[in-house]
Amino acid sequence: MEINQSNPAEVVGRIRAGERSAEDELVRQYSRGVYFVINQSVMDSAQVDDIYQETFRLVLEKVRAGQVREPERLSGFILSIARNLVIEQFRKNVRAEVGNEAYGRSQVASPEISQLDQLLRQEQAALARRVLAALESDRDRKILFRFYIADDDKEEICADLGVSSMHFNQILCRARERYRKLFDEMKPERQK
Amino acid sequence: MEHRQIERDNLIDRYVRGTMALPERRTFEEHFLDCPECLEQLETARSLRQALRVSAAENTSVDDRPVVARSRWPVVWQWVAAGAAACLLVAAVTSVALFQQLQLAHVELASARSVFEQRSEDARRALEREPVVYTLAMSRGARQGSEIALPRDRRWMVFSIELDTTQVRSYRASVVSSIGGEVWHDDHVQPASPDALAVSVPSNVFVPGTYTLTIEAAATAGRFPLARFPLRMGPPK
Repeated sequence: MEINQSNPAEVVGRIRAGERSAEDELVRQYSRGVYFVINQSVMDSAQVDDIYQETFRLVLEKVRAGQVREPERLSGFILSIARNLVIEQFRKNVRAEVGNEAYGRSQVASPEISQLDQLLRQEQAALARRVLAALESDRDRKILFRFYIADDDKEEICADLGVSSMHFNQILCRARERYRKLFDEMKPERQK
Repeated sequence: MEHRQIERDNLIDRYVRGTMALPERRTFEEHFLDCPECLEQLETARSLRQALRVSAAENTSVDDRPVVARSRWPVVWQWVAAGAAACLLVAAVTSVALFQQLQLAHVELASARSVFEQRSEDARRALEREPVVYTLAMSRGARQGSEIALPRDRRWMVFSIELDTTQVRSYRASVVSSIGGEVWHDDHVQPASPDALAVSVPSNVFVPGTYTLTIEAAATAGRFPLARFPLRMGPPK
């Protein structure tokens, strides 16, 4: 679905004027990005969903109440709310673990990975192997391993393997494009 | 923020890996929050990174092939050398004045040196071998993990744990055997990325059996348990 990017200040103004469709528009425009930012820090999908819902609840509440001082910087406003909720969630997690320890409970409550998520990970791993197989050389495969698995610095990898910065960027870009293409091809099959 | 700059400065990958400075990260987040093009690339990069890690872990368990290329590990052979040197010293001190006993001492010395050199070589080769990576995922109520085949030769075993490390910078990792007793610990495990913690354990810590790997967050107020992983170590395949 193509989303028309509205001017943030205009959206804020329309929400303050009571236009409900503007609220839907705000959520549609920022939902994907907010979800991504939260998911970057929080692994548990249930917690991600909770924080996501709470973020937009608070954002809309504050926009309606006229608490957005700089409407043109709506992105920054939304992000600060999301980040604070992530930090608060982490504090709750740590407090819960301390409580478990105090009562002598040996099992630490941990996020559950559903069977569906496990299946998805396995499928994604298979796609990653196809991406690796399609790379032109062992050196390109080494670049991907060192950068994405060993978390080596780009400069170190380029120096060790004799690769220019531009070539390095091209290898990553091609790998990502191929992975995306394979992932998109897989989606219609999974939906059957 | 322009997309040419984003591509030139590798912002997509640096964000996913968590290697951006905070001000730059904030600016980038404000840009991509409602930028479909950047979000698509970010989602792809993160998914690819995760998929490669899962694939690497699966490859390791299937065919015992290590995948992590980088080795920056402490030099353990110095302890082996010190122990062997201590053995040589004892052999020299206990030798007697008589020629035969001195000859015997010389023979013993040569044998110990040979053992020392072999062990030094083994230790050096162990360091040069690429470590084996295992990805540990947390699941509620897990009582027993999958069996891990111990490496045939001595090397580092790296346990990569998915964990939000943005709030705590230092961790303690420990391994306790099921028959009692801590067999290994590291009080200063530093995260390498915002979503994963890598714990490196020398494989000679383990023999086939059951262990628990415990991760604690080290904060000013003390240590807080974060996760426990049951590990079943099986014989080498």
